[in-house]
Amino acid sequence: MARYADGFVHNGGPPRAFAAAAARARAAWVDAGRPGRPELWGQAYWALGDAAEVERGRDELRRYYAFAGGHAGRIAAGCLATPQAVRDFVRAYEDEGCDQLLLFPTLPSVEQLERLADALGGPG
Amino acid sequence: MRIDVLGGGPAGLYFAILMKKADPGHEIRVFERNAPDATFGFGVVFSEGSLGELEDADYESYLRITESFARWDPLDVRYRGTTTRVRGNAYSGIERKQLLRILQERARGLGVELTFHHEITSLEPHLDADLVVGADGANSLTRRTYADLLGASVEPHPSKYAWFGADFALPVFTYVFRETPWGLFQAHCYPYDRRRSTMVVLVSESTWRRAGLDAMDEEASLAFTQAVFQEDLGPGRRMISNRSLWISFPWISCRSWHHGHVVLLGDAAHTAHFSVGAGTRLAMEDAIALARALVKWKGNREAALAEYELERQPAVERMQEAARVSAAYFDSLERYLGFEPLQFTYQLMTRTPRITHHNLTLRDPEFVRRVEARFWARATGGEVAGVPEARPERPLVAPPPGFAPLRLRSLTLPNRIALAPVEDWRPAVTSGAGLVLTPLVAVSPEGRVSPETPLVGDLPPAPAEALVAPSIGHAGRRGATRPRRLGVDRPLPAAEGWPLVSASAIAYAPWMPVPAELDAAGMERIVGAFAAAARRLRRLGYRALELDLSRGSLLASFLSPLSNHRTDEHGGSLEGRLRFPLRVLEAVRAEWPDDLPLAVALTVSDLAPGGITEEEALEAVRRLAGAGADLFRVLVGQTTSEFRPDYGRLYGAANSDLVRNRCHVPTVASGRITTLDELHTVVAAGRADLCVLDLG
Repeated sequence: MARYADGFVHNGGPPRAFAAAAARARAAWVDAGRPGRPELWGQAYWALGDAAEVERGRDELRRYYAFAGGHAGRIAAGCLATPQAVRDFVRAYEDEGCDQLLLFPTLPSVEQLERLADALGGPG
Repeated sequence: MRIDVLGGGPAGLYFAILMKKADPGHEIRVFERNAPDATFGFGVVFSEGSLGELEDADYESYLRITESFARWDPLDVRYRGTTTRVRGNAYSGIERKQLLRILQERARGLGVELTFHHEITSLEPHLDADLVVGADGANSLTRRTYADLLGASVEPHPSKYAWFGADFALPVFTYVFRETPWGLFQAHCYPYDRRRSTMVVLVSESTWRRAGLDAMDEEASLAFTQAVFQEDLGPGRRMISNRSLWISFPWISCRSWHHGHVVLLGDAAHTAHFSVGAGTRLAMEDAIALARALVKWKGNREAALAEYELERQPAVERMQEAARVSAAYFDSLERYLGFEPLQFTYQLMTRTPRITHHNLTLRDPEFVRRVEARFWARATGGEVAGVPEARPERPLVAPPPGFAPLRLRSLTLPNRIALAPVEDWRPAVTSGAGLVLTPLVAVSPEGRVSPETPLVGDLPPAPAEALVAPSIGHAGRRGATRPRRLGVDRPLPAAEGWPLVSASAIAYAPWMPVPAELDAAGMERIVGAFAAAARRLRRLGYRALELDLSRGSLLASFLSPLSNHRTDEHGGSLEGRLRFPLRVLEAVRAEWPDDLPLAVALTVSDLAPGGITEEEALEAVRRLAGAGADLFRVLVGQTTSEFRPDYGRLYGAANSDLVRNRCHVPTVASGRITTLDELHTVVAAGRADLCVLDLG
């Protein structure tokens, strides 16, 4: 990463996991003698709506990651499922120095995007 | 739900309790190999922080457990005839048998079926349950059955330890360090009720063999160990053995903690060295997390098991990482045996990065004041505000250790903070740091990293605001690359580059040009260039200088067997590999005034197979110090592009500690030291004399 790239894209997970990886990335950068700092990106899956809707999102992840065996269940369990969870996640990633956060929808609907906009664009 | 729990230790019982509480309709059976009142290992220890979780999870057992606790807050360190006390370590101990009794009664009261004297030889009879919980300890049959599918690994730790008891209650948690003719014996002891204590005794494998413990039976080993600690036990007091055999601690970890409907809990899934005292706590927290996930996900067992892992694995990994550092500390403790008791104790308290200077100040402000006063007194020559020595009975106020001065030859650095900017060092001059180390300044045009690397001739006169040590060197086979803001070790197009030289004709990386082996004439030229650089810097008014013998540069390439394959007198043994770097150092020292310090940036580990060994690196330090190096910036890696770094917290401090305390030379630590609090901790613990603060 420090040798070739402009930064590091974390593979997803709770903010603490991102923070730990980001700190290592910065340390590698400094150790390599590279000026500046690495660009740090994070990512997460989300599904917003009632319980059935959220479960559909999780099912989609389990289907998509079926090749990964038991790992699929872990990814599905990490899917952000409430507006509060999304907001907390975004704030925590911001606090940990994330430059770009990619929020991947798990369900293909405009409604989902509207719910995300509501979750993030609410008052304050 | 029908649940079979294999193993009736704290984890299994606690999980059974929580599940039965959540839904009395669950049919839960616990199978235990031993009798209800059989147990080994005397007492177990809990930290205050872990109790809140137990309180929330099951108040009834929490009350009974806490009623049985022996609690203590101070911790004693017995070392070289002194006892140093540190307060603010809220811990509790309980007899393991009593803990099990409470959990057994609670489980039985809730309707859990407990079967004792039941040896499990196969999982087969249990697999028709809806959930099989492997809470069967470090030697888990459950884990062994699915070892491949779970990605299980078990590695024995090199030292030896045994659990003993003592027939009296120590007042507080006590570490005892006994130097014997066979080597160091350590005991980690704590009371677990009003009459008895646990004593975990730890020795290195070589000490264990020298003492003949490998050939003793249980009785002889007890008598021997008791004799070692008799003075600490007190006259007439005895140690107790209960299958107290010497073993190597097994490090256990599993990539996954479940397979299908079989799930692991506690020691079966993971262990963390006993010196962090977290085994029982982690096991019971596992039980809480698993029960919570199962309740939350109701029928969806797979989701529940996934969430359990997701929640617990990071917490356990953090604890395992801390435990590794802690275990390594206790293994290498003999190197601190010359420390004063206060610093020895401070070093012990801060052995993992989790406890810092600030954290310790909150626990025991008076202890830290004494450490600070004593540190200041030593740094300034024994006087604190007119009072000789910082006497324990009269703690004084002194600045934290990072702000204590450091004497190097005739210079006194105002503090222990160093900055090592990777690009422009000039802004750092007004930072207040005690030492500013520049990026590489090349002694010749062929020695540049990139066309932008400054030459000695490009340096301005020494700034008056701060002590600046130009780091002079020759990039060797890592030269002729693009400026590092565009990436690292990216060669210049051939037309823009220049020929590279190194100890041998071996490229730094497969994509980089192969350097020429430095010949005798080249050596002469380079020795001359280094000497001229030192002369010029002196004229420019610099008062400190660093010689670069690190990270794959020309001089470092001689030192490592990975980059030096020479068959002449400059290769082969360490003696040969060190010959040219030593010659350069001597030439620089000859030009550099006697009253001014000369530092060396040295790579002490290549972090690659076949690299310089620890003992070779330490010998190199001694030789370089003998030739006039006053300060060592201790670095690791980048001897070849294949190095395997681990950028964990304070990753560089461990090697600085090794060099400083094995060779007794001043060192500079670097590597993820990002706060003054961390810096104070590293300096006060005697792991380095200066730290490069990484301001990100």
